[in-house]
Amino acid sequence: MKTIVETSTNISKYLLEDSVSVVMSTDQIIVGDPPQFIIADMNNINSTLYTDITNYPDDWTGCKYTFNGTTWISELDSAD
Amino acid sequence: MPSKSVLIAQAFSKTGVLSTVVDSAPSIDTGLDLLAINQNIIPSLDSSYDLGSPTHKWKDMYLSGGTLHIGGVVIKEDTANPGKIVFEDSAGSVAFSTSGSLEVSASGTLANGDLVVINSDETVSVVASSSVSQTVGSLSVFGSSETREPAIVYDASTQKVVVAYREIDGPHTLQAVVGTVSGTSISFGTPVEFYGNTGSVGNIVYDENAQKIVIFYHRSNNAYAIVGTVSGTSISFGSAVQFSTHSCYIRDGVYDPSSQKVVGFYEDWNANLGYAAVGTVSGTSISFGSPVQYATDPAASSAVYDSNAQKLVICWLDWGTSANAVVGTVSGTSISFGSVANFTSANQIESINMSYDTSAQKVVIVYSDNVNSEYGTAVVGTVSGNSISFGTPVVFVSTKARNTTISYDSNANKHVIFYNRGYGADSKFIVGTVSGTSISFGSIVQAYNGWALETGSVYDPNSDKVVVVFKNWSNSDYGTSIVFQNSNPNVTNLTSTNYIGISDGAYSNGETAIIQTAGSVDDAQSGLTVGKQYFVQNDGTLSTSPDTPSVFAGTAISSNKIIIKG
Repeated sequence: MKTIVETSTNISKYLLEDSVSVVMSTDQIIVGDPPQFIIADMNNINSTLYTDITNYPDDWTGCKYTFNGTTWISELDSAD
Repeated sequence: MPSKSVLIAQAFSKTGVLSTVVDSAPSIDTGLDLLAINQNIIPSLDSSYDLGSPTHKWKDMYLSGGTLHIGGVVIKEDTANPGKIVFEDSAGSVAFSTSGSLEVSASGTLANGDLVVINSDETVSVVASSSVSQTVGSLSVFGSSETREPAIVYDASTQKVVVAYREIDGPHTLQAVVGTVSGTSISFGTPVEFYGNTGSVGNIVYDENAQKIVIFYHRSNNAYAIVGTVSGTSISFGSAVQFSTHSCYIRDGVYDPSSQKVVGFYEDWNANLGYAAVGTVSGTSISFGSPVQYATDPAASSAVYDSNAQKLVICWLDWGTSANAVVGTVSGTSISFGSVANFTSANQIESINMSYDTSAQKVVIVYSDNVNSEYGTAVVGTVSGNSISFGTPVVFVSTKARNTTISYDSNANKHVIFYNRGYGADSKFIVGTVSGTSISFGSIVQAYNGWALETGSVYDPNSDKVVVVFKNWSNSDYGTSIVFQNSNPNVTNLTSTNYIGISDGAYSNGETAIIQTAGSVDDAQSGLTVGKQYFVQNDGTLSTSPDTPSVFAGTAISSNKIIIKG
C-alpha cells in the first residue's frame, strides 16, 4: 500500500493500493490513471508519499493516524 | 402660417415697430432703408408671425454669437469651446453641445483624455478599476430562537435577500425575513410568518419575470408553494398552494428564466420516488402542472438553471446506492428529463449542493465523499442537449466536509464554498475557480469559530457579497448569517452601457467638465495606430482587444486622435 501524508503533521490523508498511480506536482496530486480524483489541497511541497507499506492499520481512515514512514499512531482527535 | 407671404419691408410703422401684417405681392417698394435700422424689431403680437416661409426662405442668418431662442431653449456659441454650439435650458444649464460634447459635473478628478462613464447621479467619473480584498464579515442573527433549514435567495427587484426557515420556539412555525447587505454586514427586518404550524422549508427562489419570491415547503405530509412580495424590509404572502399529489418530503425548488416557470421537487415517501412539478406565478398566486417523476429515492437534492443550455440540472443522492444528476427541460406546464448520469462513486453523501458558473457555463456539485474519508469534493458538469457529463472529482479539502453550501459569485467568476468538518468544528470558506472541466481552489479561510449546521448561501450582486445562512449550534441554534467578500483584482465602474466619451480637459472633483461624446474627435491620446478600432478597458485604457464587458471606444485617425463612439 502507499499513503500520502501531510508532511507538517504526519497525518495520513490517503491510503491507496500500490498499483494506483500517484502524480505529485507543485499545485496538486493526481490519483489514478486515468484520474480517479484530484487532490487540490496537497502537493509535492506539503506532502510526502510513502510506498510499499505493509503494516497499515486495519481500521485506517483519513486523518485518523499519523505515519512517519515507520510507525502508525492513532490521532482520534483528528478524526472528526 | 399666413395664407399669403408677408414681406418684412412692408410691415414697419413710423415707429419702426412691426405692427401690421400686409398681404401683398413681394415686389412692393415702401422705400424703407433696412440698413438704417437702429432699434429692436418687435412684432405687435406674441407668437403670431413667421420670419420667411417654406417657399420664401432667408438665405443666411448672422448672429453675433449671443443667442437664438427656441421656446425655452437657448442656442449659442460655446464660449468655453470656440467654434462649438451649446444648448441651454431656461435655467442656463447646458443640456447638450452640437459638437459632440457635454458639460457635466465631475465626480473625482478627470485628466485631459480620460475615458469617462456617466454615473447614476448624473455626474461623470473616469473609467477605472480597483482591487477588493477577501473579507469575512461578522455574524448577524436573523432568528433568536432555534432555527432549522434556512434557505436564502436574492430578490433582484428590491436588491434584498430573503431567508425562509423553520422557527422552533414552542410551536413550530415557518418564517421569512428580509435582509439588507451593507458592507460586510447584514441587517434584517421583522420576520413574517407564512405558515403557523409544523413544516419544513425546501428552498426559496426568485421569479425574475413576476418579480416575486416563491418558497417551496412541506406541511401536512404534502409539498406546498407560496408567493411572496418584498416591500422595503418586509414581505407579504399570497395563498399557499399544494403541488404534490403524493405524501412526501420537500426536496428543492428552482426558477427557469427561459420558460418563466418555477419547478418544485419532492419525494413520494411511500414509493421513494422523486417528482418535479412546474409552477406558474401570476400576481401573488401560483398554479402547478402535474408532477413528473425524475428520480428514485432522492434523499438529498439540489437544482440549478444552466443559462447556456437553457435547461435545469438536478442532482441527488440515492442513499446507499448512487449520486446522480439529470437534465430537465420545461415545456409549458410540464417537464421532461434526459438520462440519469452518475457523478461520483460516493453513495452516502451527508450534504450535496450545486451552483452554476455563468462564465464557464458549467455546473459545480460539492459533496462529502464517503468512499474517500468523507473529504470535501467538487466535480464539474457539462450539459449538452439533454445529457450531462462530468470531469474528474477534485478534493478541495482533505478532511471531512459537512454542512456544505456553494454559491457562484458572478462578478469574480468564482464559487464560494462554506463548510465545516463536522461536530463542533469551526466553519470555513474556500473559493474555487472553474477551468475547462476541472476546478482549482484557493486557501482555506476561517469563517467562524463555531459550528454551522443546515447551511444555505446566495450571491448578492448588488453588494457583490456572498451571504451564508445557517443554524448556529454554537449559539443556541439561532438562525445566523455571515457575509463574505471575494477578492477581486479588477473591480471596474465600466459597464456595457455607461461609457459616454472622453474628458476634454483637466477637472477637479465637482467642477463642470466638458466631455467629448460620440462623433467628436479627441486629440489627447498617444500611441494609437491609425485606422484601428479601440475598446475601453476596465482600467480606463484603450486597447484594440475588447475587455469584459466589450465597449467600443472609437477609431484612431492619428497617433493621438480618436473619433469617439459613445
